[in-house]
Amino acid sequence: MPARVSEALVLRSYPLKEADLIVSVLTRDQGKLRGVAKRARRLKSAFGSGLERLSHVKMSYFQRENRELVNLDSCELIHSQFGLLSDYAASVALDFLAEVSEQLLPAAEANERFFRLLLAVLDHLRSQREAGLWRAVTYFAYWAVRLAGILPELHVCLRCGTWLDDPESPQRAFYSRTEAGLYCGHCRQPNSWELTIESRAMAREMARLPIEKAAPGVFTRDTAADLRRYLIQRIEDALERKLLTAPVLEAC
Amino acid sequence: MPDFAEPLARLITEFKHLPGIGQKSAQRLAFHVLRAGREDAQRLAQALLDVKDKLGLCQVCNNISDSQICQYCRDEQRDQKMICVVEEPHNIIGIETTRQYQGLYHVLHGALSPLRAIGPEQLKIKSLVERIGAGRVEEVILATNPNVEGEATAVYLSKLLKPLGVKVTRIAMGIPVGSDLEFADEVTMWKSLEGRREL
Repeated sequence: MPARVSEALVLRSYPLKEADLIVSVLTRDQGKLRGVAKRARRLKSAFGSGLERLSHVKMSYFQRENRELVNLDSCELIHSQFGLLSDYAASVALDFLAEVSEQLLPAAEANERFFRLLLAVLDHLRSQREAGLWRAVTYFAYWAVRLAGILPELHVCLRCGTWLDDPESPQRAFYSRTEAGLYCGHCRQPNSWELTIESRAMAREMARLPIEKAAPGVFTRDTAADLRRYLIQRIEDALERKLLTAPVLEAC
Repeated sequence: MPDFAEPLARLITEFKHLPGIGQKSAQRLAFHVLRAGREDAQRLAQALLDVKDKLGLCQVCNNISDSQICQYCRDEQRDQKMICVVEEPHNIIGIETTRQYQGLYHVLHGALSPLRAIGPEQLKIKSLVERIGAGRVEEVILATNPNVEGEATAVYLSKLLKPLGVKVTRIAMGIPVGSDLEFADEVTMWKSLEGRREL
């Protein structure tokens, strides 16, 4: 019964019995784990506010062989996202980050890059508040899709191979629900949406720059909304289910 | 699982559906019912049926009630200018035990949680806005749970209700009585400092 201490982000929790919680956490070194936090819902719980959604904690737990659920022992809060809750849209954005991470990541498979992505996005949200919300969500969606290995090439037409990002004559690009990649104007399918040249340029920027430097300037809900919609479609295709939080976030 | 007689096995299975009841507890409860007299079993069965047949929601505050208007909404001695908003009917009991609050209640039946597909439409928010729109209410106390869902719900409600011209307050958060500051985490301590009061 080895005791472990891992840096972790709390993704989700579910009530269990009278006062316990089942908690899903993303640890830096062990990947996504699920565990039981005994008496976590009591007023004087040892976990305090450490098990709230997307809390960054140092988690102590022990893991029995052949058991899926670990026993959570205690947690030490490193960063809480409670301060973000004064804005409802930011609160829904946190739900979106948690849902995508929870659904997209396989269990017990370390993914340090995804962990660092979440930390960077949460840091950005905490420092920029509402001003950084849409940049954070779009950046997270882009990298979540990319790290999950489901981001297709965004610079060539899926059908005819036309180079869409030719600097001398950039092409319009379209995407549909049925295929993952992009199409040029000639190969465009019915029921497709445009992914604008500006949004594709923003995606390239997000691929090479940290969040605070990617797409400087004002980033509103309308900025790269088509890119965000495209990325969410890729996530939903991979999960084979709709995300619950995505439409709520867009409606905020 | 050992082979119990069919009626007993069925009772054990039904008890196991209750929250917090596992196989052993279900067996213990089932054997207790078996040993009890027929009248006791009858009373238990009737109580279970009555809960389903005779209870409904108060038409004013959505609290669980055996009449159209609950005891709190009927009581004219209570302060009609204050409404305390809670997530669930059982939260009212916690507030009533203090004997400090004499106003009315409003039960939302949940908290906003996009992760669980619970949005404003799923909660009893419309009737709250209608109550406040009637014009008698001066203060709304948001007593949702001190967790992320409860806090998000409180923020959402405050933005919705403030334009209606009522005072919107939030219950204090912080150190529980009888605990030790040494064990308070960052958020609890921050919230208790934020909600400090002058002596």
